[in-house]
Amino acid sequence: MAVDPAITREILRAELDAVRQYGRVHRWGTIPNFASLQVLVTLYAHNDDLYIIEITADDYKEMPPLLEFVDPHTGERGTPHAYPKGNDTFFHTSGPCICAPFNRKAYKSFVQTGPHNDWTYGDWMRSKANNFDWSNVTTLADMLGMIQSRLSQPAQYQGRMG
Amino acid sequence: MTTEHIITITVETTRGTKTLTVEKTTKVSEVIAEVVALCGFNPGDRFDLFLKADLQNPLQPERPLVSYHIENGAILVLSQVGSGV
Repeated sequence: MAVDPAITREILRAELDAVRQYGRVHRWGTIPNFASLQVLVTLYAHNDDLYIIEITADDYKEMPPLLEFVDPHTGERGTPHAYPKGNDTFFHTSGPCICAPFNRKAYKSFVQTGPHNDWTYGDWMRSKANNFDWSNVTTLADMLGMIQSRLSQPAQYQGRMG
Repeated sequence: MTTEHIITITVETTRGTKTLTVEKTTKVSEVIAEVVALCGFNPGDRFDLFLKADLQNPLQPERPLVSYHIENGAILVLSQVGSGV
């Protein structure tokens, strides 16, 4: 059963307050579109590389949101050049995608290129995938904070994926 | 009683701004544990603490705050890197 968009809209408004507050530290920019239940967020890597994430939040929080990087130079969505490269598979070349339970695009049941057919979306807020407690990453600020931490630290960030 | 060894710090987190009053000799790991609890995070997974002025280098958990010259009114940032899956 789909989540009433009005409920999701209220959740988005509440969570975006936390995104804006925490985002001041990291220079995030946010552009919400409450009609379409989408948010664009700009983030910077430690070397000032610019990234854009499009959050699509229909049926949030029954389902995780769909997080997609947008190329800041071409506007293309989901290309390797739009994605960062890390030192593990969090930024996954399949898709590419952010490979975490909080991203709809990581689930093969949603997207053909999703790396995981062993995850059930109903568990996304209590997943223990890879022995990590993903219940600590259940708000938009938590998700963006984790992505930012991988952009901020030189040991984690290796430039663009492609 | 002197209070020179007591400082108040602010920690920015994804679940709001937390203010703590701690001794300068408090270890970074102890600050992390207290903030994690205040935020309602489940403990056990790796969180890092940063100076707001240096978001590239996490503070070492075993070191006391005073060893970073963290003074009264300092602003710190909590983050978590997570795991590749």
